[in-house]
Amino acid sequence: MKKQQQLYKGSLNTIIMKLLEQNGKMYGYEITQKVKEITQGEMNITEGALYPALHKMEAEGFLDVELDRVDGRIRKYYKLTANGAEETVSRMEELENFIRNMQTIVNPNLKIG
Amino acid sequence: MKVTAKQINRIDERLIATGFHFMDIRLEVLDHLVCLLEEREGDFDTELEKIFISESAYLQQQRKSFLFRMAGARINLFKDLLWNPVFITLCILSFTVYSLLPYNSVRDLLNDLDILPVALPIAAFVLHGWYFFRSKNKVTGTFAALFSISLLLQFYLLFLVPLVRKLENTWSVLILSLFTSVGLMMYVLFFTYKHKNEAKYRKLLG
Repeated sequence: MKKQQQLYKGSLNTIIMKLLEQNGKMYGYEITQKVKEITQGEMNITEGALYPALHKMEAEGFLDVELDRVDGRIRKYYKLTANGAEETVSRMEELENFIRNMQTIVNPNLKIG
Repeated sequence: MKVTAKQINRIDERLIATGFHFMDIRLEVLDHLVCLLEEREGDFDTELEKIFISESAYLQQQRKSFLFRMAGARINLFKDLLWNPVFITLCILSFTVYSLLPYNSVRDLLNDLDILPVALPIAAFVLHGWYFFRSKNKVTGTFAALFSISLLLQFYLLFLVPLVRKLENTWSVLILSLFTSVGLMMYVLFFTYKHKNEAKYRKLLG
């Protein structure tokens, strides 16, 4: 499990961007729960990795922030900017290529796509 | 469990007491902790203690992020500073005042005043310090001008003061006026950002 986390680490930003592309706007805790739900608990994004990644992408202009009052507190929602949406497409292509290449190496007989 | 407004306030106070002085950092941490609490059942205080222990690494990391964020929250030099009507007015005023000062020559004027742009914002540093310790609702972005303008003034001090002294003509007075205005903009931008940020959060906090 721990070794698997290391493999996911390099794709954290792409995962966040893809989730935001699919869901519009999300807050930090929601992202961690969504990833857990999709991967059926196989993947766990830690807060220590998630929030710095979100803040970095916000500073780079890939994410925009929306504040909302929810149940007596302020919630910070993240959403993709136009730049971020373009970047998501490009990163997803890179990730798909990577997966395809890995698959070719790991299991050369299996044909994808 | 359902977390009440009073309990949220208690967590907020605790976060402030443990070093989360900036609201923009604190509100996200607060929301995250409340989300974790809402997932749990049992006594509020016991569960909160457990969360503070289990999330200690995350809390420590977020607490330390304020310096990085303050330094990273740079001002938009073109939009907020140079293309600002207040800045342009200050430039004209500074140049007029310097030109009207009773000095026999530009050399005498520069001898006395070439460091003035660096000295002018000293009170602004004090103002930032006062605001840092006084306000509960301060935001890292309010301190953006502090870093950007300090860098510009350091550039003036290191590279332009020797040039200004060497030129000893109207261009010297122009550069001096320009950086005098940059120094004064530290006050203007502090109040602009403070007002803008506080208004944004005040509205959300009701």
